[in-house]
Amino acid sequence: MTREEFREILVDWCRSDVDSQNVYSETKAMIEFFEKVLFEEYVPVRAGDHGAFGLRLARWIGSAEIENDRRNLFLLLRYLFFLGPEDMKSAHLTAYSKNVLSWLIEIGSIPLFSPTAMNDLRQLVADTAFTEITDSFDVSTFVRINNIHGERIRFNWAQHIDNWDGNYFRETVLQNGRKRYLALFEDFVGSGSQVEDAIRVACEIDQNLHVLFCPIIICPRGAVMAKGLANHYANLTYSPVLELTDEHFISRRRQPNENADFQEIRETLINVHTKVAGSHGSWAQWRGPFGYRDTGALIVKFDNCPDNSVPALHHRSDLGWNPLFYRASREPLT
Amino acid sequence: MKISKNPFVDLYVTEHVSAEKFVRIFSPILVEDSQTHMLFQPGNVILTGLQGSGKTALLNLLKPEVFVAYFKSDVEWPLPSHCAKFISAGINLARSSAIDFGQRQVKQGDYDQEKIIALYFADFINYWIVDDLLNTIDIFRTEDEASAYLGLRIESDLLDMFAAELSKNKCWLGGLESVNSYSALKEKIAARIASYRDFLNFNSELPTDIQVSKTSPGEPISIVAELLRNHHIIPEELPIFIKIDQFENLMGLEKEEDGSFSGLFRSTIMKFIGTRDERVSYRIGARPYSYYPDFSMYGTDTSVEEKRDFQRLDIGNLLSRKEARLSLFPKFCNDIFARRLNEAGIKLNTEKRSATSQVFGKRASPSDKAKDYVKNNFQAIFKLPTDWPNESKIFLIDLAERDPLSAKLGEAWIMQRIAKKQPRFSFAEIAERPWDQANRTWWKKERIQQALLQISARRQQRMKWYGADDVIALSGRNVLVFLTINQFIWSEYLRTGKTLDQIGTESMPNSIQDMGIQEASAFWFRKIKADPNGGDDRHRFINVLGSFLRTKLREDSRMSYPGANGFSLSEKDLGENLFVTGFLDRCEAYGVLETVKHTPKSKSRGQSRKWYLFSILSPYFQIPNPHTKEPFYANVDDVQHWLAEAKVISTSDNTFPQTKRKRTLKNIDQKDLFDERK
Amino acid sequence: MIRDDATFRPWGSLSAVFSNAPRDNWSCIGAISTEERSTALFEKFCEDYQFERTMFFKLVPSHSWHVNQATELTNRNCDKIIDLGLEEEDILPHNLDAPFGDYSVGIDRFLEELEFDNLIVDITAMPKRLFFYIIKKILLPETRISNIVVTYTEPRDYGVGALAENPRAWAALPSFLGPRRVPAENKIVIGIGYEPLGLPELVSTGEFEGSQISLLFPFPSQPDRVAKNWKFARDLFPNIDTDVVSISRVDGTNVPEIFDAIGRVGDYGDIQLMLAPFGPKPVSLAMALYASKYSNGDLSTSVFYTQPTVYNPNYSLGVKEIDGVPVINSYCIRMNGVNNY
Repeated sequence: MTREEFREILVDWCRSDVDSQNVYSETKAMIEFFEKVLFEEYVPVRAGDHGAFGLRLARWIGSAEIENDRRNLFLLLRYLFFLGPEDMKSAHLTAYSKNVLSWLIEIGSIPLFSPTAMNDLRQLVADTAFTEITDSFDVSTFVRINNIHGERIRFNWAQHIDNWDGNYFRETVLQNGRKRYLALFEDFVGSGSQVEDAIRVACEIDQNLHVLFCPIIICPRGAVMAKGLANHYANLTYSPVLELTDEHFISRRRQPNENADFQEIRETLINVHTKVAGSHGSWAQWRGPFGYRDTGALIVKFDNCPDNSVPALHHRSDLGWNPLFYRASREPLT
Repeated sequence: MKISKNPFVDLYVTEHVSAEKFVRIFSPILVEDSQTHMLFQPGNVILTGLQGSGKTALLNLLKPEVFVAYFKSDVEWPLPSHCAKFISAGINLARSSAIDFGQRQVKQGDYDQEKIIALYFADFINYWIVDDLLNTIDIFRTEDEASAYLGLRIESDLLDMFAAELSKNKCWLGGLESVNSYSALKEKIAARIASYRDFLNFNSELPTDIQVSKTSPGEPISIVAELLRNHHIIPEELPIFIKIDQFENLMGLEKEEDGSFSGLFRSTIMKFIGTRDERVSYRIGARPYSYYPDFSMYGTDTSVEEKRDFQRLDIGNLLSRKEARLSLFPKFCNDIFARRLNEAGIKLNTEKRSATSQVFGKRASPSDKAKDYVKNNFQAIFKLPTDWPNESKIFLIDLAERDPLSAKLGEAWIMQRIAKKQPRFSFAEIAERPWDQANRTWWKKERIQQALLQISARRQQRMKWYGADDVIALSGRNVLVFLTINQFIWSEYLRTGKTLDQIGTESMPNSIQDMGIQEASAFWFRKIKADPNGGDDRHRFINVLGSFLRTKLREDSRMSYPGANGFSLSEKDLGENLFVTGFLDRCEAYGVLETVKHTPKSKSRGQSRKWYLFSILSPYFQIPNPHTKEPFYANVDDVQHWLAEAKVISTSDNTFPQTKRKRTLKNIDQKDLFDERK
Repeated sequence: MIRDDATFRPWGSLSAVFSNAPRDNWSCIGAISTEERSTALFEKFCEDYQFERTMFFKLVPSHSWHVNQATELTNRNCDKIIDLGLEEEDILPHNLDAPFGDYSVGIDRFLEELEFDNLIVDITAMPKRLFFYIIKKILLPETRISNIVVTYTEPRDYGVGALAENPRAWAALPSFLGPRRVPAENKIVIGIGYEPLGLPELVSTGEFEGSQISLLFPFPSQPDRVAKNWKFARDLFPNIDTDVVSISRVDGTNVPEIFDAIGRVGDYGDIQLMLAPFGPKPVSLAMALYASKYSNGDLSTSVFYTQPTVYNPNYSLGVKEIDGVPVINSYCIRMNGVNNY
C-alpha cells in the first residue's frame, strides 16, 4: 500500500468515526506528533529499503488483508510504548543516581547528615564494579554519562557465562577484593531467562559480596523472576528503574480488567500471524503472535524492537508482511 | 526552491511580536473602516473583542516602537492623515501585576482595607503609565525623523525644566520631592514602581513614603500631558493616548468568594475615564461584557456613560456585515493569508481571484456534497415509513440516485404533509417535486443544511467542510481562528509529502482541507477548558449543548426545525435569571457561543436573543454552521437543564440551577464530573 | 546526587535520609487536603520522632458541585492527623483560593518564631503558590534553620478524569514575578504533567512567541503516564515546531538531576528563565529551588502558573508502598546551615 492509498483509507476511517469520540482522528494526531518527535529515531531502519515512518506505516497497515485487522493494527498504536534515545539516557542517569546510590547508602549505612557523607559515598562508588549482562546495555556509555571514574574494566556477563572463570572474575573485575559491591545492569528484561544465570552466578561468588540487579526496563514475568532471586539470595538487591505492570501487555488469553480494546487487537494478532510468521521454515527464530515467551509487549526501543514485543510490529516475512519497526535479530535469518 | 515549513506555524499579532515583524504582517484592512479611526483620535474608547479578533493588533498601532518601525520601513503608515499623529503609553493590567494588589493584606491605620487597596491600585497605575509615557519620549529622542514628523522637541534642557516643574506639582503629594532633572525624575518613578513590585512580590512591605503619597486616578497622567505641552516638548494639538489592556482580567460578575477585588478595580479604572479630561484619552482593551454590569466609578455615586464619557468599538461588529456593506472579514482574511504566504515565499496573483479562493477553491454545491456522502448507497439515506405507498418510496429512491439532496428534502416534505394532516397527496403531485419548485424556494433553502446533516448521519459519515468560503465562515470573524484553521490545514498538506511551491499551480485537495478543519475544530473545542473564569464549565456545557442540537437536527425527520443549530431565550427570561445570563455572557466573552438579538416570529416571546456555537466548533459537533431560520425556542428551564447536566453550579449557593427536573448535589453521582471526557 | 565534584545533594526514602539524622528539634510545615497521602509524612515521622513545632494548612475546598465530598474528605484527614498527635491549634484553615496574603502572614510568623534548628516542609498536598514561597523564604540566609528536608509522598494512583479544573489567568507565583523588563534572550521551561490547564490558550495566542521553549518530560514512568504526558505536549503544540520547542527527559522524582537540567537550559542564572510548574511536585520543587537561587536582578527567574480553582476530590488515591513501606521521598536542601542548591 502506498502512502497515498493509506491516507485515503485513514481519511475514510476518520470520516466514518461519527459517534465514537473521534478515536481515529485522535490516534492519527498522536501518530503524526510522534512521527516528528520520536519515531524517526528508530535505528534499524536507517539503512536498507525500509523507508521513512510514513511509508512503513502504509505498508504495515496494508500487510493486513481484512479491513477490521487494518483498523485494529492502527488502533494498536495507541498503546505502543516507544523508548527513544533520550528516554533511555534519562533512565541510565536514574539507574545510577537513584538506584545505585540509594542501594549503596542503605547497605553502607551512610549517615547523610554527616560531614563525611559525600566522601563515604564516593568511596563506596569506587568500591563498586559496574557490569552489563548483555551488550544491549552498553556499560561504557553508562559509566561515561554518569561521570563514574576509575572503572576500567567493561565486563559483559553473556560473553563469560558459558565458560565461567570465577578466578578471573575475582581478580580482574573485583580486583582481588577491592570491589565489595557488584552491579549488574540490563536494558530490557522480558521473561528474565537471559539474565537469570548471570545473577545466580554473581550472587554465588561470595555471600559477602553485595550484588545489585538493576534492569532499566523489566516486564512482569521478569520481575517475578527477579523478586524470587532476591528472596533467595540474601546478598542480592533487586532495584528496577522501570518495572512494567501487566495491563500494558496483551496476553494470549483475555484478562479481567484488561483494556477494552485488547480483545480485538488480540484477535487481529492471531488472524495475521500466519502471514507475519511467513512460510514454513522461513523464520529460524519463530515466535507466536505474542512474541518471545508470549510476553505480548507493545514496546519498541529506539535501537531495536525487543523480541518480547508482538511480531506483527517487527517481523518481515516472505509472505508479504511488512513490519512497522523492523527488528534486527542476533540470530541468523534462516 | 522547495518550501516545507508551515507558513502558519506562528500566530498572529500579539504583544510579543517585534515591531519590525508587525510592519510586515499587519493587515491595514482593519483600519479601512472609519469606525476604527476613533482609536486614533481624541476621546476615550473601550475596545472590545474576543481573544484573536484583532484587538491587540489595533492597539499595537499605538505603540511608539511600531510607529518608528513603519517610519524606517518602506511600508506605508496605515492610518489616514487626519488621525496619523499621536503618542501613547499604557499598562497591561495582568503583566504589570496591578491586579495582584488584593493578594496582600494592607493595613493603614483604621482605614478600610478595600479603600486602601483601591488607592494603591490607582497610584501604581498612575506611576506605571507616567513611566511608560516618559519611555515613549525616550524612544523618540533617538529618532529624529519620526520626532520631526510628530512635531516633538525632545531636548535635554526642556526635559529638565519639565521634570523640575512636574515634581513640584501637588498631585504627587510629595512623592517626587527633590527631583530636579529628567533623569532623576525617571529614577524616582522607576524606584517607586520597583517598591510596588517588591511589595506585590511579597518581598517587602511598602515604604512609608508611598503610604503617605498615593495619587488620584488619572490626575498625574493628565498633569504630565499638560506639562509636556506647556514646555513644547510635544505640540499642543498632538493627542496622547493611554492604553489600559487586559481589562478582562478584572472580570467576574458574581460576588468574589475568594476575596478578590475585581469589582473594585473595575470601578477604579472607570474613574480614570470618568473625569473626561481632555488632556489625555484612554483606550481600554477588553473582552465583551468585562465591564458589565455597571460602569460605576469608585468612590462616587456616579457611573461613566457610553457616548458621554467614552465610545465603544467592538471588533466583532466592525467585521460583520452591515446593511450597506459586506463584511470586512473575508477581505481581512485574504489580506493576511496573502501576506503569510508571501512571507513563506509563495506569491499569488490576487488581481482576479482572492488568495484563499486560489488555494482552497470553491465550496462544493449542496447537491454535490450530498452525492459525496451517499456514495452508492442511496436507499440508506431514508427512513421511509412502512405505511407509505410503494410508488412514492420507489420514486424517492430513484431520485436519490440522481439527486440525493432533493430526495431527502422530498421525504421531509411528505412527512410534513402527513403530520399536518393535509389532504392525501397523489403520486403525480410528488413526481412534480413540489419542494424543488420556485414557490418553495425558502422552504428548501432553510432545510438544505439539515438535509445534508441527516444524509451524512444516515451514511455514517462526518459532514465535510472545504473551500475558501467554508474556511472563512468557520473562522467566525476571528482572525486567530482563521490562522489556526490554516495551521492545521497546512500541516496536513505538508504531511502528504508535498511542498509549498506547488501551491498556486493547483488548489489544495478537499480531503486535506476537511481533515485540517476537523482537527482545528477538535483542537478549539479542547482549548475551551484553558480559558480562565470557568473554562471547564463552559467546555462541559458546550459538550451538552452541541450534542443536544445535533440530536435535535438529526432526529427531526420532518425538518420542522431546521434552525435548531442555535437556541433563543426571551429577554424577559434572561432578566429574571442572572446566573443563566451571566453564564451565557461569559460563553460569548470567551468565544464559545455567538449571540445576536432577534425578534422571534412567535410574538408572545417578545424581544429575544439567540445563541449559536462559535463557528469553528460546528465541525466537531457535526452541526451546520449557517444561521438560518428560527432557532430552537428554549426557555430558561432548558438552559438550566443543560447547565445541570454539565455540572455547572452557581457558586453563590453551591446548587445546580433550579429546573423542573430536580437535581441536587446529593443525588448526583459524584464520579460523573470527572469521568474522562474525550 | 553525586557526580564528579558537584554539590552533594542527598535524597532518598524518609528512612534512608533520617537513619542518621539529628534526632531532635524538628519542626514541620504541611498541608491537609482531600488526599489520603497528605497525612502520611506526619504519621510516618512520628513513629520514631517527635515534632517540636508544626503548622499545617487545612485547604478548605472552593465552591464546586462536589464541595460536599471534598469537604468530607478533608475533614476526615484533619481528624486523622489530630488523632495522630497534631495539635488542633496548629491547623490553619484557609480557602484554597484565598488571597495569598492570608497564607503568607501565617508562614512568616511561623518562620520568625522558629526557635529550633531543623525543618521539614511536606509539599505532598501543598499548592504550588504556598511551597514556592516557603522554599524561597527558608533558603534566605537570615532564616536560622540548620537542616531543611522537603518531603513528598507518592500516591498509589491518580484519580480518573480531570484532576483539576477551571484555571485562573496566567499569573506569577507570589515572590516570583521576575524582572520588569524581560531580556531579549529568555527561555521558557514547562514541566509537563497531566493537566495543561490554561497553557493551551496561552500557546495558541502567542504568549510564548519569540522564546525558546523547553519541556521537561518526566521519565522513567509507566506507559500510561507517559501517554498522558505526551497528550499534554500535544495539547500545547499540536503542530509542534521542533526548532522552537525541545523536550528533555528528567526523572520525575530526582530533584538534583532536574535542578541541573533546568540549569543547563538557563546557564545557571545567565539566561533569564520563566518556569511553568505543571508537572510532578518534585519537578516543581526543583523549579522552586532554581528560581529561589536565581532570583535577583535583571535576570531573575520568574515562575508563572494558571492556578486551578477546582480539584478532583479523588485527585490521588492512597499512598504508594514498596514492601509495605510508604514511599516518602525526602530531599535535603540545607544541611548543617549550608544550602545544597
